[in-house]
Amino acid sequence: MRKCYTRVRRARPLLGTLVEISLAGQAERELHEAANAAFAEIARIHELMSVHSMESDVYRMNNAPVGRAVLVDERTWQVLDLAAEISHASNGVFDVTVGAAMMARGDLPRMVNNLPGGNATYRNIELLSEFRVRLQCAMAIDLGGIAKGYAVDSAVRVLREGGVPEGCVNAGGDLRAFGDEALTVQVRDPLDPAIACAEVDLCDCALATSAGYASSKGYNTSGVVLDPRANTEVGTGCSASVRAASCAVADALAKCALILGEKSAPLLRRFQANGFLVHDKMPIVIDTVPVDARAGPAARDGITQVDVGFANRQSDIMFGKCTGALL
Amino acid sequence: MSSHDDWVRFVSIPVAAVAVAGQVQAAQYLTVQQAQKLMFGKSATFQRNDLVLDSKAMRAIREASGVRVERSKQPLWEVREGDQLNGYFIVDEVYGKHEYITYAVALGPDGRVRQIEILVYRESYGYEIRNPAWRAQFIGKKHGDPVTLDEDIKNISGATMSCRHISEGVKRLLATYEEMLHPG
Repeated sequence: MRKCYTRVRRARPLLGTLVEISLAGQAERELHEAANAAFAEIARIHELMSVHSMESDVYRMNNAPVGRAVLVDERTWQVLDLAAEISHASNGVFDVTVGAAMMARGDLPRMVNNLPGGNATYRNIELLSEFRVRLQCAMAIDLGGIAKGYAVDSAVRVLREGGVPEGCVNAGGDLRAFGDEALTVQVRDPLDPAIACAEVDLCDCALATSAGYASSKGYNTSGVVLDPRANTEVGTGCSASVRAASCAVADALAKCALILGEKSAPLLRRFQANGFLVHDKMPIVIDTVPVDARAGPAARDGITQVDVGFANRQSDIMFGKCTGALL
Repeated sequence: MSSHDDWVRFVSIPVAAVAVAGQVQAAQYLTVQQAQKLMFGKSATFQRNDLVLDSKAMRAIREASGVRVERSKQPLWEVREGDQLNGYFIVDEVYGKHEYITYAVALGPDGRVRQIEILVYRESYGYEIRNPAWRAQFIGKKHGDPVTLDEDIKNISGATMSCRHISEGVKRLLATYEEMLHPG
């Protein structure tokens, strides 16, 4: 017999966008309570990581005296840790210190006492024990390229812990589905947001899209994407979508894929992600099929071990099962 | 290796889920009654007492908030727990270039924002949203009409929707509270 449950859909303005939570598989009241808890967690992450707020961890780090260790929330520390991992793996294509250039260009408000020069990189961020962070030189950290995805992951963790069997959390296009049922997601055409240019089926995983949307259509964008290596703006009219197990990874890798194009394939492969690009209405799947897929089990195992190890670690962070062991 | 190439389908179709006079992507999240219950609890009582803004009040609100005041009537409910004033429930609408949003704000008795919930979201890529007659077709449909706005809504990845217009709307509502409701 087919069970008949109500689907609950809620939306609140958070993270600078509309965050939508869609849930099913329980009684309506339980689903609403779970959604409340998930929204509360997202709001907390928003407060901790907003570059706009003087109360945030990000503001405190950016404005602390250079070289002084700053105590941050465990969640902020985890985001910085994952960001560092992706920065290393991408050789700086992903770099949270891009905030200084964004502020200098006026893409972000100047929430620093003194606007730092552009010499700092992710290598100048030291992650210390007990959730302390030390910045080796003046910089402006902006977690805008990863915190939204992290907030989605955290909301999914809260929902699962609350016993919700299936649902989806969508923070302005960075989204994650959980549960058994596959969810079809449409991806907007970067040249025409009224048109969907792709459909992706998600089952227990995340999708994030990064784009320079054509301003002629007047769509609200979350701002520009800068290549942190040269602080140059990535052109409009292209988009990159990445599917990964966690939304934080998908979020950060989508920026990398937008900047690197098809050259992002090894990076995506390393994080067990898939991706595609859309440029001038032309879709291109990023070829993440392992080069050695046909090269025999030994070589394949070598790569798989690295990838699986990382993937496990991510899910541990996201589901809080053994976060203590990470420190 | 099958997951590497068949996980995405390239298409070219409107993101519109339902056809209501032009391309509209719309989602109904909560009815007014559902939002009231969620924001203030089941035992609260709601008395509708809409604010009527004269031109002087509209000007004062605009000056205090920096946001244009377009409507002279603001739907508002006084919320009581027993005979104690427990806050205000306000329904408001904002629109941008492509989106038209109905949302509810819960204020504490001190005028502080307690919660914001989106009631209905619609987006359209014609000229419709700027057209009051087009927007008028939705009036009444937020009170739980059996309009199938919430059927077959697509999940969309891509251009980030800004919540700037909601932030401005809330700023305007807080100025409205100060002008019309704040004691003394």
